[in-house]
Amino acid sequence: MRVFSKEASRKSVEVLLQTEMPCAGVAACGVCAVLTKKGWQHVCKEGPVFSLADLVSE
Amino acid sequence: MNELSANILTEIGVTSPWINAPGFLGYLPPSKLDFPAEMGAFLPPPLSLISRNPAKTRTAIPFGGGVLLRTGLPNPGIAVAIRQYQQRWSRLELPLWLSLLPRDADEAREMSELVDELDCAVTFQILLPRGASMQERAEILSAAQGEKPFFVELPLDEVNRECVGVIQKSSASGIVISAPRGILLKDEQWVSGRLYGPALFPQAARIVRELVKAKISVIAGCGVCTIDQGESLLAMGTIAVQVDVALWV
Repeated sequence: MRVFSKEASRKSVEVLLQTEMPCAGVAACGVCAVLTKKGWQHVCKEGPVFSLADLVSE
Repeated sequence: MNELSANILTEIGVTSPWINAPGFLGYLPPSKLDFPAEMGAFLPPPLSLISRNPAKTRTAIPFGGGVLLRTGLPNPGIAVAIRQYQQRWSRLELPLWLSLLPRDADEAREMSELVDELDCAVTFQILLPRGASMQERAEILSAAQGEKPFFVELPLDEVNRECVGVIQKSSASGIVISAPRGILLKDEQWVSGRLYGPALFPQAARIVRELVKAKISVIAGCGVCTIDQGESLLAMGTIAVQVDVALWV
């Protein structure tokens, strides 16, 4: 997974996540799942832009 | 195995033999669904008793005959999923068909009871744990017996006389032939996962034919990528077809 864009403080930074999405965006396969402070989210459904502060390292 | 299996789908309100494979349409059918035929039931992703996280090395690796998927079958657990989706599932025009991942007989019993309480669910299928002994498989199938009919998911690479025999002795209504496992190289690492795609069709067709000959109710749950392929298996005697990656193309 690659992270693009970074500016200003971590709090206001939004990141665009690029990952494989074999199910073409129906959030069915789980391949694009990313761990956030709100739990597991799908890049294809809840993203692809996330707040950097919300992302949690696995 | 239940003698009424051949008519079981009609009896539970599944009026078309074309259904989605579990894990290929999400928890609710998309509003715009490009399904190859009239859909007979809706299957959400496989559910375990306790929530499962995505696999650490989740990925999709294409190969000449299809794709290897490694996902870890993530899900919030059956109780949470029911709480979250029950209302919307009950409003579906299609019968709900659940897919369960019990690890042992106790889990199978508990999950089966939850399905019994879920009015909108007409049936379920069980994926037996890989590596379970024949005795353990028999115990899981025995524990899964509740008020609703159920099917047993048997991956293509696990179909053998012994395993089919265990299922035949159970109260299961039939067998779903599902995606086998395989390994592929990615970034110089072997990755294991489930295989999907057109390469599986000839193998699935052979197994379907053998089970039909043995008068076992069988659902083709992998390898079907076109209407013609599905129709040919239905003509051969499979009672339903589950469509997987073809829904994503």
